[in-house]
Amino acid sequence: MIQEPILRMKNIVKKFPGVVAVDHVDLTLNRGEVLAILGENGAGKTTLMNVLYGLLRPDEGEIYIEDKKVSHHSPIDAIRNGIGMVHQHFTLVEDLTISENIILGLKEFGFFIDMKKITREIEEFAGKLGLKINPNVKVWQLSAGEKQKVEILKALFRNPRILILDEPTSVLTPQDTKELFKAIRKLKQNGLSIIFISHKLEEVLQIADRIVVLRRGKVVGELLRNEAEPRLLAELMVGREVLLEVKATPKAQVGEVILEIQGLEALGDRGNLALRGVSMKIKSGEILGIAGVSGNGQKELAETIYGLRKPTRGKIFFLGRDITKSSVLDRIQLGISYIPAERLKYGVVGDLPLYENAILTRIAENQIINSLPVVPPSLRPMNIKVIEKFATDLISRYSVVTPSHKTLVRNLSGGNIQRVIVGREIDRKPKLLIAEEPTAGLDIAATEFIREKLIELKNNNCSILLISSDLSELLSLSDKIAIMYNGEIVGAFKPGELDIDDIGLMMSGYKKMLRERIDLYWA
Amino acid sequence: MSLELVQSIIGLGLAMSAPVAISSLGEVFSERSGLINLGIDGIMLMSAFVSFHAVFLTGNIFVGYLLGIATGIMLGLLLGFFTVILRFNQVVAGMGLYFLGFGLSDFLYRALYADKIVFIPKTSTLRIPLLSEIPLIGGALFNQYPGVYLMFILTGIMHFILYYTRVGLWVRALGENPRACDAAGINVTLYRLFSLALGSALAGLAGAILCLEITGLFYENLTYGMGFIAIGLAYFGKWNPSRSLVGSLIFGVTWSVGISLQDIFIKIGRPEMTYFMIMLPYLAVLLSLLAISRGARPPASLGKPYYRE
Amino acid sequence: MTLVFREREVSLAHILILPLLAVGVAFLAGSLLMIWANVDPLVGYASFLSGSLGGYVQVTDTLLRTTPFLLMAVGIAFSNRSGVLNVGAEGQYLMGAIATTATALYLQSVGINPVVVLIISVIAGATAGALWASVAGFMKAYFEINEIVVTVIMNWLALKIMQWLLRGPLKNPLSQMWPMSPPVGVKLPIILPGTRLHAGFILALVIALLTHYILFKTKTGFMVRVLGSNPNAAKYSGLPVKKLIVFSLAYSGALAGLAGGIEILGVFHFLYEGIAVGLGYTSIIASLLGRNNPVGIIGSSLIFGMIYNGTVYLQSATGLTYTFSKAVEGLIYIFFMLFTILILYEVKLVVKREES
Repeated sequence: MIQEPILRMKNIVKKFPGVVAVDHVDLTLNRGEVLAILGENGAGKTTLMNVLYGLLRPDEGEIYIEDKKVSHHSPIDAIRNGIGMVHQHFTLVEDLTISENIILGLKEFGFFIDMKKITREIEEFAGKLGLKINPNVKVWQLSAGEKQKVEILKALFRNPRILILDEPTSVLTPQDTKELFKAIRKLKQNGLSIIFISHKLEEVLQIADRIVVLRRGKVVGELLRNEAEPRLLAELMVGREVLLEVKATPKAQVGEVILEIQGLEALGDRGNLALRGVSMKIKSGEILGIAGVSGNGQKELAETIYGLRKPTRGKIFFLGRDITKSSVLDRIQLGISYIPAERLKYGVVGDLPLYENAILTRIAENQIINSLPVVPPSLRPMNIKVIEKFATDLISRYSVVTPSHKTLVRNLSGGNIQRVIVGREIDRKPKLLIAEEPTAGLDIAATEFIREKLIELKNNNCSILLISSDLSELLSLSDKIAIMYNGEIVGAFKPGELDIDDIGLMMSGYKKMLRERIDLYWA
Repeated sequence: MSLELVQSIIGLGLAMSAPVAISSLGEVFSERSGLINLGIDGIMLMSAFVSFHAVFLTGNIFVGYLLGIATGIMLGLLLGFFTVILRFNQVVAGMGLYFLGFGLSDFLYRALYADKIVFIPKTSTLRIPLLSEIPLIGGALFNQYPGVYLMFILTGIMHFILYYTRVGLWVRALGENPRACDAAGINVTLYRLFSLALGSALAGLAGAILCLEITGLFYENLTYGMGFIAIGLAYFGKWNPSRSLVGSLIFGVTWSVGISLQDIFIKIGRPEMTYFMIMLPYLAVLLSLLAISRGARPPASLGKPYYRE
Repeated sequence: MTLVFREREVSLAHILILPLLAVGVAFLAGSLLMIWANVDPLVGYASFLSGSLGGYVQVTDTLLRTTPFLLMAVGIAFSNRSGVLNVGAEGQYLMGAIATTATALYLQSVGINPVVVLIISVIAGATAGALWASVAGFMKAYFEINEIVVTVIMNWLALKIMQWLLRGPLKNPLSQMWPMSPPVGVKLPIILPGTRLHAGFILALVIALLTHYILFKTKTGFMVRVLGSNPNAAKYSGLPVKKLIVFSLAYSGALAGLAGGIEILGVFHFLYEGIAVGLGYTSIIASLLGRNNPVGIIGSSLIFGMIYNGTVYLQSATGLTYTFSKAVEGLIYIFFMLFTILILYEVKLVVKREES
């Protein structure tokens, strides 16, 4: 079969402050093929596609469609050039019907909308693709899988030559995924060229003709389907150097069970089931690492344990107490701490000075208020000396770079904000620390320091739930590691028991451990 | 309670509902696109003054209405400049428009007319031939000021535009998910400005109606917060033009009941009860807000400025 | 073509200049209005300045006018800090005035010691304002109903209640002219002999400073500020969000109610419709100008005190009415917004270039 390129992206570079998201990438798409772009979160896949679709301007590089050079200033240009995109996050208007969403932005229908005619057209259109839908249903009533179908219909309705699917199966059930793949194959037969972005190995192997692997903004591999071998792909995705950086840590003196989760289920922000029955136990003095590509339920797990998200099913026990319905304040006072991945959203108040942020989660403690007779506690002056001491201690111990402890947090760099949050939560001496990406964005010295702190906490009988996309960090710090994929724990092991390829395979859903074997780790 | 009294209550009630309903209609439309316009009371005041002055100078009612609408559009675009283009906080900017309209309209009146109360000829009622002969309600319904007819016609038109045209679909989508609209190629800025201008034009019309049909004169704070009631009615109507019309009618009729019973209260020696009755429409709106709030969900992007990330 | 914003680093100088600039330019625009109304702006502003600051009596009168603004604006600033907009200060002010009048009249009639009457009436005013505002607070916290809509409606309710009471239960049987209540005998003590300046001014200052203390030095104020700045972080820190919302509105209402009570006991000495002149709305502008900081508001409310006092003299000198001050208020607001954007943000026009 002659490979005929329909799209060529040459030497694309896209930078954001502090990071090169796409680093001199060349990409070719051939007519009538399914090209998969494989990579972890942050590898640059979505950024690259946003450049193609006109949502971002590249800093360098050129794009050619059917050998004609194009420049996309906004999605309208991309749509006009025959590119359709189904985004990772839904761009549907929940309050409108399916038909209304599909025709959104189209000018062909004139001033007055003849809903009956449009509905008929859409039903026909969907039928040709083998999809049966009722176009008059409002989108908020649909399941995640059905919404995905509407998104695809919407993109196809504009008659593209190239269709980009960005992590299309992230909220789909296996059944939905099968249907999706059937549709993709049909579209391919009809001459559509497709780019399929994913971090899921087994799906990529099922559907792709060619596979490109991205890591840290660079292309690290390009293979045909028949050349691709799961282990090889996993290694490319995750990186072999990981093994070389692992240091051994002293094993824990493990005590009683601090946290127990039974069958936890919770919904994600998009209405999908983000946690699908997670069970685990953490003992005091233990670091339990959660490995996996981010977006597989880790964030929801952390939020549910901390109390920011309500589980739909299941129970959470802390030191034997059922805290499933407890408030965040209760959990803080019981000794649970959380370092959130979304630091600016949850972890700090940017408009307030550093010393006030340093006590954000500690306001229930008595020592921060001066003792004063008669006056009720909430109206007594806060003990500035104590608070400033917390702050200056934190600054010096965690090497926060800041003009003073009075500086507003929004004027600090991201890395320093991270240090403030980490310092605050660790210094609270919690019984359970949920640490989500604690060293992300930090330099080596800071990373080392925080890792030491975590070990120190562990030695003081604190338990740590360590969620990280840095595999080497997990391997060197954790006593046990659980791998999360698609809202479930698909594997558990102690560092050293599994080799890197197996880990990569489980992280990308290609392999799964038996339930009984996983449960052994919680014994 | 004579038949004539009932008729006059309904008649007056409908006339009173017109300005509230029309400005509420405008607010519903703007809010549907995600913009909250707290300044419509100020717009109504300015347009009331402008239409008053125009009629005083020219004697032509149409000029009065037209200039009132034009005032609304201009002020709406001014607000749009701050909120849509500069992405300034909509609540703060809206209150500013209110203060501006309030102060400027009053100042201009005083500067031109000093402390005099000046009457202008009110718009005459339009009598619809056959229908107004209907016994009982014919007079009240079909021998009415143009504002009343406009109230019903415009509600129908806005309802149609919002739910049956492409423009209305874009506006509704904007209010819920501007990012999706941007990704679909809709010009967010343009459509938001348009909906704000249209909403303000209606507020301007409402102000003109208030002055030219109901009061026939202008004084400080002529609207007495009617613009804010209109905003409340938009909530009450759950951002549906027809439903907010119902709320406006309730408001107008309860107001009219209070005024009309004034003579009766004076007769029974309790004149202050009129004021008690006048409280009713406001109380009614408040209670109804509470009653329907459980199910009410405003347009998701209401009040949030849109930036393309 | 789009406008791109970037927040600029602001120094204290920037923050101080902003309100002064807004006021200055507004006055300049005001002089344009004066010219248009055939008034000589120099004459106008001369009488304005001499009237507001020109002498011992004038200055104390200005301080007198400042008092209600100070109280209400500080209260509004407090609730602004929690992210709740209290547009209902006007209604809370009226309810406070009503409660104070009614309480004072009743307690007087049973012969209670005047000092005690004073204290209890003042407390009644604050309580009435707090309760009135709490209604909106509950509706927002527990039903998610927009507080602006509720508070504005309650403003009009308060006005109607007052109008009803003045013609009914609170009516002065002796008055023939406009509806008013019987005179309230207790008065706030005058603190500067020979002037009209009463103790309410001191009380307002004390409360402003107290509010500053609460906001910036106590745990309560800290929680309020966190909630207003970042509601997500408030949830993350386990703060009692709903209770904070109700509390901040209640506090704001209490101060507005107090303002109403003080005006009755210190200035008017009876209740009548003329006390409702939109002070509650103007206080919103004062809180904005004072950047939601009680100390800053001492300054910004002084400006409004000057405006309200000075324009009386302006009026008699030029024939313009007090509503000129309303127009200037609106202008100050608009210019404040404009200058906020210009000074605090660097606005760049980014023109996309078409690639050839």
